[in-house]
Amino acid sequence: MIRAERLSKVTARRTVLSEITFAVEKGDAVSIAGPPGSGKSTLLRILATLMPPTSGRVEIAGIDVTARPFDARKKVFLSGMGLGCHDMTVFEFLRLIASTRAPGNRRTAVDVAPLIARVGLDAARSVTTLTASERRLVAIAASIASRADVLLFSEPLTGLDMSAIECCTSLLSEARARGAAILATTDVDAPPSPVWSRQIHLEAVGA
Amino acid sequence: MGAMVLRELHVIGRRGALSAAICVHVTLLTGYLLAWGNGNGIPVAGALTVYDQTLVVEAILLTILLPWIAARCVAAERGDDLVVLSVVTAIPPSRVVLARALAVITALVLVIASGLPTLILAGRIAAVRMSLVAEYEFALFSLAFVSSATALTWRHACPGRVIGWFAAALSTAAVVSAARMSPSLVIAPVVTAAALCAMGLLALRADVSLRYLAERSE
Repeated sequence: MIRAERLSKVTARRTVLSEITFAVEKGDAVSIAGPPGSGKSTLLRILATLMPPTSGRVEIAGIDVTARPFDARKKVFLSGMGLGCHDMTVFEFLRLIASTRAPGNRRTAVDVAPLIARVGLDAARSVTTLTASERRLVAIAASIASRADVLLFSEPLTGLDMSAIECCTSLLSEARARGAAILATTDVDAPPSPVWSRQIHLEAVGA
Repeated sequence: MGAMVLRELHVIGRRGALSAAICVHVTLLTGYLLAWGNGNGIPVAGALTVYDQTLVVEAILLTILLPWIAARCVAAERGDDLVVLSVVTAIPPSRVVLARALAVITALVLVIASGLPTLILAGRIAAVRMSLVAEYEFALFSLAFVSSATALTWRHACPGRVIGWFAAALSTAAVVSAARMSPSLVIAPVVTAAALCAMGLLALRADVSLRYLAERSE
């Protein structure tokens, strides 16, 4: 589902990623750990087509993300790096995600009301008034509503209370069970979670 | 894309500006007709009939209101937020921009249409043919395209809504002035086509300029 070959990213200031190669298969859940500045977020952004790699090749569900970024976006969902919307309620945001990503037409979209009830959020609240942990829950619910083949998360369980962690763990397990490939960044100090089948460790490359 | 258009319409509808603009438009236009609709219109306005005077009032009102709504009601996301919106919805930026344009045009057409009953009434008072009233109303719809295209273009180019409003007001005023000098059904299709071309170019450019996050975000 995810294939990265000799992936590098160099910004104006430094080399963030250098010659990274890895693969994540269907139904696999992989965590990326590493110290701050090791390029975890940059890697997620490249995989989500938010930024291009400097060199190397990335494929999402067989689609080259550099050559066909808009096609790749249909296969991948990134959560935890902003919702991209300001003027919506939780319900409207999740319904938008579900309907724009439903294959064929809106009638095949996921019913988001039970999803919102499951994560314990108020459907009528504006996404701009949510706390950081609530936004994380909305992002996870959105990733489930998207039914994307590849789910990318930025520290999905950080800052959540125990019941929210249990709920998210169960949602992620269900996504794995339907065949989604999951890749998530985690903090180096994060406690181990049964969600992840293996871990990729990134080290800061330096200047 | 239909879901995105609905979303943009939702955002516009939730802002008070649209309903406020419709109320102001209808109230002032109807108020004018109630005050001076005795068959002669404002006496100092010379040989103009009450219908012609109503058209002038309508044009002035729309020149002020349409650009304001276009600049005020459009959803807040721009730049990197639009890139993220495109990624989470899996809709190319060009379609997001087109959906936004379509929603703004719909809102502006609503405002223009809200003045139609008053125009019909003024036409009846001045014994003007209904076909002429309908012709003028269709010509007015071209203002919705102009105001939307200008406001959206400036919205993507500049951070402030005020500049977008100012630019849209100027271009709308230019079209209104031109329309007063030329037959309305001649200039309206030209103006509408130009505005549609501008929106098409804006959408095409969005697929390039909003493909990735800005370099500073990295």
